[in-house]
Amino acid sequence: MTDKIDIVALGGVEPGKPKKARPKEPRREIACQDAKARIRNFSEVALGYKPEDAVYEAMRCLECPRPRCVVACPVHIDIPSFVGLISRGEFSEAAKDLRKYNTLPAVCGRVCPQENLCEAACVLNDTNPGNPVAVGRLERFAADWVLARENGTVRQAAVEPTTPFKVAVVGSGPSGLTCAAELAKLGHTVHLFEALHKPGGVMMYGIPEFRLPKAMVQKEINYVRSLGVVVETNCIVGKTFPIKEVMNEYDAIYVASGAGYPNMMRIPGENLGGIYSANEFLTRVNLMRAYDFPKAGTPVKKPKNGIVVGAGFTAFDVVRIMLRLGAEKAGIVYRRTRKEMPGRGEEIEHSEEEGAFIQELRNPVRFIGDERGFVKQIELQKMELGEPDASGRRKPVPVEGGNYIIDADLVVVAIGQSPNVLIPSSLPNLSTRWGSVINVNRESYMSTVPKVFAGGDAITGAATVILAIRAAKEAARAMDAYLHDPKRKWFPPEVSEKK
Amino acid sequence: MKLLDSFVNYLGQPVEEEHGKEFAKALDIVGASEFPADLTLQKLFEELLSEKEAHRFSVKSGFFLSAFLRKTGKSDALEIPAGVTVHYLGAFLSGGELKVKGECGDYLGAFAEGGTILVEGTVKDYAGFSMKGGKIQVRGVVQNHAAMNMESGEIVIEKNCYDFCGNSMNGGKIEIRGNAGYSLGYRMKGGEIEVRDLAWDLIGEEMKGGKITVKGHIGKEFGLNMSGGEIFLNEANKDLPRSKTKGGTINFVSFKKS
Ligand SMILES: Cc1cc2nc3c(=O)[nH]c(=O)nc-3n(C[C@H](O)[C@H](O)[C@H](O)COP(=O)(O)OP(=O)(O)OC[C@H]3O[C@@H](n4cnc5c(N)ncnc54)[C@H](O)[C@@H]3O)c2cc1C
Ligand code: SF4
Repeated sequence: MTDKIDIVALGGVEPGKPKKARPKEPRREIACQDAKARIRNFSEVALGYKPEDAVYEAMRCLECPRPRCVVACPVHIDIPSFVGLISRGEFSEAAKDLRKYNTLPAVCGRVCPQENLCEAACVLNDTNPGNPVAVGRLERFAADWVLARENGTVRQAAVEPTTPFKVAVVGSGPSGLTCAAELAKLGHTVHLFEALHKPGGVMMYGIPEFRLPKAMVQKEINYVRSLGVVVETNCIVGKTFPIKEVMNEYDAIYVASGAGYPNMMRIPGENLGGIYSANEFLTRVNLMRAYDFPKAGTPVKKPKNGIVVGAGFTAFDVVRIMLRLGAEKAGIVYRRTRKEMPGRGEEIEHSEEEGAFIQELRNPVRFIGDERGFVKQIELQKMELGEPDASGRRKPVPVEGGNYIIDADLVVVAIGQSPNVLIPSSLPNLSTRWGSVINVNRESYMSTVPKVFAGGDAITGAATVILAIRAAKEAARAMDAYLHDPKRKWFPPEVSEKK
Repeated sequence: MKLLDSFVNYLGQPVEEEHGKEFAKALDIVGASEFPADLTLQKLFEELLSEKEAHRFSVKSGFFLSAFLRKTGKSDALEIPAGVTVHYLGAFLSGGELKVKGECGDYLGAFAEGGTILVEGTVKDYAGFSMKGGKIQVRGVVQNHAAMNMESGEIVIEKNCYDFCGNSMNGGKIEIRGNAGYSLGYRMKGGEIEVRDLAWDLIGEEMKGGKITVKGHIGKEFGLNMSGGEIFLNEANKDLPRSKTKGGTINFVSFKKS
């Protein structure tokens, strides 16, 4: 499909003419499905910019010579460059420009916490606080523009391996996919192993369809495949075959196995029916499409009173799913206050619009079951904020005598995830902290086991898509240098400096 | 030219473990070579590029060009065409002036002892690595790990500098006239970094000594686990949450607009 873009009619800059930015105009909001309608479906909530919205928003950007936004982007996308291309109507070029820095722009445009990154740093905040250029929405617009054309995939001219080196990547989340793509571009043969039956990691099994359409994720993965990366699903490295086999067969390994092991509360009653870990609940709904049961083969409990414990990305995704599954009431209980919530502002807002309630300064101390062994109530303890902890956040402390009971027939515990111990336990010399987070050198991404590099949530614990991508890009560079070095020098982490 | 024959042989050898040894090898080749008196850095570079092994150009060519500069002791200029990356340009420079236009690869001016390098263009990682003297001035962006292990000398960056600037630096001065990315002054032990505008998350993480000044906005977690040195931040940031520190000082001051 070729589109004729009348950039003047769209309010942009004619080719060859200087741009007169309009930074004082208000930020363009993104169209969303109405809250009442959207809680009856799983379709995407934010509908994206139309070309006229994108050009309008791009025209707000000053294209600063020393752009603050770029230093705050973990992968240092040349933001004024791609935004400038949008304001000139060169949408496909903008997408190409983005892909130089980011393998998954359609994903990042949707899920990155830009309000803490590029948009927080944007110079427009100085004169008009809270009104930065909507970089994320523009990123999504450009990426979608191209994905909707070119037969739905951004095909790359097939890249033939130009080096004799073979690399294995474990895990197909954003980190594994990015590292695989970068290494393939550098001419190496790359095999990517994924435990699940579909590649994509949390992008497929964790983040719900209404925030990140799965078809979009698969199109991004097709781009990675088109670079020559071989993706093998249903392969649990360390179980389907021993990791030693991989060590023998490949010149280097990148472990991007994520943080898919749920943390639980360890309080009485947690084994009752109707209490799920966030991972199980989300995998059932997102990957196995349990919302479509019995058409899809996997069921999930449809709640009347749903409660989610926690207030991160995951918790808000879960509560919004509960509402879509038909819950009469669904809400979040959190031991700190709104101010400390790690979830994104936009997601919190969307959840409340959809009818979710938030109980701050509350912590479950006991789950109470019915005669069939299913949860029916939760005992909550009131909390207050004490002194700041090491991270600078004020610590929640219990308020004596402030306990009370609420009803709940579905509870999802979303208090964080840790990396799975499978890979560390298969490699005895692999240094880890907190039991399963892999220690790597901050410059080389090398672990304590020669040949084994690691990145993404596997080295940080649960974090963000963009940080997983950054680690992958840097690791790929280090791996390329290692592969080309005849002495195969190894710079492992200083393990004594565990954090 | 005999010199170029030697260069092709030199490319055929593996990269040595230590940068110093590599440079000494390049110096030996250049030292033993005869070349026309009118040979400029640009001409030498273009001849190297046209060699059939040009695809391996980026790996060690910078050492070779630096050795040439060192032997001639002249000030010289170089224009790098788009798509060509030269690592180690100006490495071990001891005097004179090198002017570069175009994109520079990794290790620009690494181990320099003196002289001045002026760049108009982007500079990749590890610029000024273990620099002992001299000056690097960049009219463009400098990417990650600039001034890592720097001992002395001066680096001026007229635009932005990305992550880990001043990583483990011991001395010398870095002036960033734009903004800095993540982990500014990570594990810094001495020397001085000044940022005219913004620096993002993790300023001075595990810092042990030296001085960091950031005049504009900042990101999160400044001074995390720092045990020494001083950080000066704009007083507008004084209410931001504090990270855990083990020593050193964080000061909030008012900066006059320059
Ligand atoms: C519900 C939810 C919502 C989130 N929302 C956001 C958001 O809005 N924005 C954001 O930036 N971040 C968000 N995150 C965090 C983000 O998704 C993760 O930080 C990111 O996906 C980490 O990427 P990764 O590649 O390191 O790991 P993952 O995405 O976890 O991928 C790891 C992959 O490795 C596979 N694997 C594990 N072990 C093996 C093995 N032994 N052999 C083969 N394969 C293996 C797993 O099956 C998985 O597919 C969210 C997380 C969750 C859970
Ligand atoms: S800081 Fe804001 S205005 Fe300046 S280039 Fe970045 S997005 Fe545009």
